[in-house]
Amino acid sequence: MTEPLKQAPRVRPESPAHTRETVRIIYGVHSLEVNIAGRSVGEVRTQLSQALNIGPRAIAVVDGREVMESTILQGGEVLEFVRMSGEKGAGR
Amino acid sequence: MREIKVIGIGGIGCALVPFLARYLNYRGGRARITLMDGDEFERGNADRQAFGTAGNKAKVKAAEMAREFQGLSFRAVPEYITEENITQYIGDGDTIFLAVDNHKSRKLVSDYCEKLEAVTLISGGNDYTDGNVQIHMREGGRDRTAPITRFHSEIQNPQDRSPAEMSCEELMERGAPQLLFANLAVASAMLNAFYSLCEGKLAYGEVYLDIVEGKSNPVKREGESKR
Repeated sequence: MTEPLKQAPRVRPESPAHTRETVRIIYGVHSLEVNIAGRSVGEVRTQLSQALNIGPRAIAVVDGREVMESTILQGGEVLEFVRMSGEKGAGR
Repeated sequence: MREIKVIGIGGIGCALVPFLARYLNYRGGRARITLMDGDEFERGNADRQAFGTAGNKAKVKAAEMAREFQGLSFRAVPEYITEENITQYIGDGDTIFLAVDNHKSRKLVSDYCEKLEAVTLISGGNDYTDGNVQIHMREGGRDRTAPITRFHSEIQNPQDRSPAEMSCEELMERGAPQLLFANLAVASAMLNAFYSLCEGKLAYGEVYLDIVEGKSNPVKREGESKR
């Protein structure tokens, strides 16, 4: 994980007292809660892309709505970078 | 009668069908399960797929299930899903388990489902050790959960082709390595979603899973109300 986010205080997801100050970030099976309110989606993507292996085409969704990279995150929101679907399952 | 369609009887479909049939057979109520796949089972696929005999996958599996679960009705469609036949095999009120190996077919089925009044589409796919399941529910002509193409540009704009578009040589050559356990995990997640739906308790529209990390992560996918 990159330095700025390493330094951001992490909280336990089940801790309701912090949910208004933190943003929950989801990418596939990964989920973390970080104090990054006030940062843009693009900034978070840049900082987390390597740590979570976020695909460049992954759409950003905040609380169920697709958002632009310039969107500023508010405390209590859920930011998801939508992981691409598994392609196989049948095959030979 | 509940109409259930399983499209794709490969690694995931093959793992899913026996448990789906057992559940429905002993749950009570009438159900007809249609199995659809244009592919042939060959002995070389036996590392991930269980068929008693060689032959068309839908036909072989439907015959096996009909022998074991006599309380259900089974139908085999030995074809790939295509633009030409989709209206014949998918209809209002269906529950569809989509277990294909390409996004082109996923988009085809998803786009058609969006035209129906009521439908439940449970779509699963995997890579080598991870995968996901998406659930699109429509009721009264409205999306209760998001279509599987929404938020997923790889399905909305597929770069691959359906097997119906491939030559025999291409069909023989296709297919990245797959892991039996990833197929099984996705099949299980699809059935978990179906069970939750039957019980009126489904609380997510997509679930991701990774068998090496031992994790799954359900996420909501709101329908029209969020548009």
